[in-house]
Amino acid sequence: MGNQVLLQSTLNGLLLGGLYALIGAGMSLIFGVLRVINLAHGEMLMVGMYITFWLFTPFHLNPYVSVLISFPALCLLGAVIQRFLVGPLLRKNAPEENQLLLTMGVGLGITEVVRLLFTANYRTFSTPFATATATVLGVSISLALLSACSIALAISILLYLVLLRTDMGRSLRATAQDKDAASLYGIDGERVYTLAFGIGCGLAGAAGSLLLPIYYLSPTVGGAFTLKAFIVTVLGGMGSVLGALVGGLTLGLAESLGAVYVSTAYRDVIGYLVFILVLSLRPAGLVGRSRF
Amino acid sequence: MDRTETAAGLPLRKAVTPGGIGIGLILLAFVILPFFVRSPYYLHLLILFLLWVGLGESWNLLGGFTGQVSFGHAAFFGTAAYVTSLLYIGPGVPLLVAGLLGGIFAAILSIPIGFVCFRLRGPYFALTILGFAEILRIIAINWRSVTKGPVGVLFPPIFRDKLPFYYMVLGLAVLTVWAVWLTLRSKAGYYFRALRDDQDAANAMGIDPTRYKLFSLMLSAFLTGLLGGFFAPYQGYIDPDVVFSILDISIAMIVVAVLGGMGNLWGPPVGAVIVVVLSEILRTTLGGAHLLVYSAVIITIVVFLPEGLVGWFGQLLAGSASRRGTTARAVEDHPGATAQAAVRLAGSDRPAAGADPGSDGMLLRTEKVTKSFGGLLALQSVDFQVRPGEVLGLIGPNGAGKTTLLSVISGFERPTAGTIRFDSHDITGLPPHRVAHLGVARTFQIARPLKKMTVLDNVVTAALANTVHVGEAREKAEQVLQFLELYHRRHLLAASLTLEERKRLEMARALATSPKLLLLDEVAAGLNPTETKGVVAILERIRETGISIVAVEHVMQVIMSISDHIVVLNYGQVLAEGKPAEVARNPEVIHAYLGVAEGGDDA
Repeated sequence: MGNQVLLQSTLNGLLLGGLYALIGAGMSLIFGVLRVINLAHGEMLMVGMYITFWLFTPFHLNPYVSVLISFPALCLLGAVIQRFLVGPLLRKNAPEENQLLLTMGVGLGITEVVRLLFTANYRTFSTPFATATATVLGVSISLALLSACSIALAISILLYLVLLRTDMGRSLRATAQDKDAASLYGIDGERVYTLAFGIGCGLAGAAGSLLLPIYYLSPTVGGAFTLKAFIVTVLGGMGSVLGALVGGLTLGLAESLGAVYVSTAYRDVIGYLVFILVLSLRPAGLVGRSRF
Repeated sequence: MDRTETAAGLPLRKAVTPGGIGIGLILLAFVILPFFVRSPYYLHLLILFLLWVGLGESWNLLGGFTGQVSFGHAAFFGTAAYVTSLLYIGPGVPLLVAGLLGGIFAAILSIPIGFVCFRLRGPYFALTILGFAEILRIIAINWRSVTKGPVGVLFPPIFRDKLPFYYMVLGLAVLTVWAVWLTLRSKAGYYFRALRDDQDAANAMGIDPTRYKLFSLMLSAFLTGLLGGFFAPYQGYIDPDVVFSILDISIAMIVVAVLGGMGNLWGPPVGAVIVVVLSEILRTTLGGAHLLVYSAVIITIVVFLPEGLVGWFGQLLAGSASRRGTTARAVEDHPGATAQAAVRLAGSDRPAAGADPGSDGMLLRTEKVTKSFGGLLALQSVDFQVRPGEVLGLIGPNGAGKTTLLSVISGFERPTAGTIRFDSHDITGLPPHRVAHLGVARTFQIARPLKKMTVLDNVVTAALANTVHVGEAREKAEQVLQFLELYHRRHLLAASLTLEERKRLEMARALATSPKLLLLDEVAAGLNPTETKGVVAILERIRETGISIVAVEHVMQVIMSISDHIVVLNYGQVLAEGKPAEVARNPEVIHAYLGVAEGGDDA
């Protein structure tokens, strides 16, 4: 019986972790290229959730398909934010804390706009497959969670391949390492910044679509996910997509196991403690040097 | 003492000035105000205003003046609010004592938090301390036996009306502003600002970063805690989501300080007025959308007005002032000043170099010092000595390890192997501030002025290494500035100096710590021939005071003319050493350098 519980919570933790990894990957990408911690990341995810909800409720569009819409939509939103707010701030060489304040202010603004448009009512997602389960290794697993994790992993792998194999990916990596040197090679740093921020936000939006079936909807869900994304990013080494995977799985496991074996109430504290510990002892993250 | 007003708007002389009288009048006005304000609503607004003045100012001490931007001050506010409430309600501790204890508890809490968080810089610090605040909030929600959980704590009514609360918070606001003002005028205040502007440069001047950052944090936490202890009885009710709120407490404190102007004593009051007034107007008119406007305000300030309103206004004024009467003021420098200053410099607070040498008469001795960075061997078994009173030139091709050697000696890097003895102390692996206190001062290859402080304040900060009294330090600083012919620029912000002046400022700071040994890292780099001659003259004058010098240099004209002894490094090893003329003729040195031929080069 104890083994069952262990297996169940481990599996749940890993699946959740896969999703967390996607959320963290976006923030990691943004940090890796722009050196900006996007405190509005959770809000991007939240917007993705709303887009998915409003596509599903009247049009019955499968949430996993609406990833194809939320991703580009959030890419656009992110690009606009970078172009008109983040970029100008970075060019002023302001103290780093100002970036935090800026993205935090943006997150607050987005939350409020959504709240004014759609009210603060909590909504849930009710479809048959949201509650369907499958039996894996003798343990009952939510199908929605399984689907979310699989698609999240697929997107992460795609991202990794793009970064490693394509020209766009090389531009991103080059700018991340040295924007000025990259510009000497003909890479337009500002455009890359916009691209990175856009893709990062797009990933968060996609994660939102995947998350909706297993979570609830409200304008204020963003904050918690920004924090999770940050923890994942820190655990994995800021700027590393591979690290985000490791970080995500770690966080997912820590939360899941912590909720079962330590206390449900304090499960968030576990996440915080883990990240404080990692930041203090191994600032480069669990994976090590920041690299993609 | 002449009137010095830094760009931060801090009056540095005693309070009986037009400014001081003005402040006194304003204070008087606040004291008698309640007799004219009858409406409880407006009194409430005033109380809020004063509360936020206090909170903004206490945050400002750590954030604006020490450069540690905390996103988690709710940790201290909330903890103290709970401590005060629980002490008053439970054991019946008198209110003021309970409030004081709340503040003290917050200060004590800040110690372990500081130890963990100060290992991190910038945004990591900000977010980690946020993490701590969140942990405390979750604990407050779940530790029901003590905190009553999410239900919160109800504070029994104490006073019949708001008037006593008004005077309490007025007192706290005044206390906070006064405490910050007092601290800024003290040695700690200079040290905080130095840490803000450049932590490594501060370290090199003998400032222990952890100790002083912790001090700033504790004071800030204490003051924030006092205000939390006020909030509980005033509000009558506290719960975790109110007193530990990220947005309403932690971020609001930042907004108040940043809006008015971080690093400016009068920033938080201005910020508090705007935040309180704006919040009220928005709340009553826009109702639901006020947070949206709040977010727009944050974004606007951060992107367009990073210096805050007071800072922006100050820049406008400074801009017009500099357009009117620029550059060098008529200087009270008379011809003998430099020479007199030199004499005073030598007969200073330390026994002269050579009076008690250690290590068989050597002032500095490195033995088999090795430094590797991962796979890169920067220094290999370097044996290197400096005699008291001598000028030692350290030369070598780029990448030879010269700056690494200086960093290892001054404590910025730990040697992988080997020992360093200075003046009969083993200084291997000591942190830079300890090395500085033992008598080793250094300059940096790329000058690191404390940009937001004046030239004079830069040097005062260095001089405080040997004294607690700011007045004494200022006298010493003025002597040093005269010695280096920077006295006429002393009231300018360090950021506005030319390259050559910045290098002299580096040397001034180093000299103000009364060192026995001066480590100079490429002081002549990037200077034109006239400026280079000036540097040589300065080095001659320094040598005359008896201070030993190790100078890393590429400019041969400088190094060859003033060095008593030369050491050549190549690939991390000592290649040759001896008198300048010998070394210049040494074929191996010529070979390694590829250019030290006739005439010297100024690479």
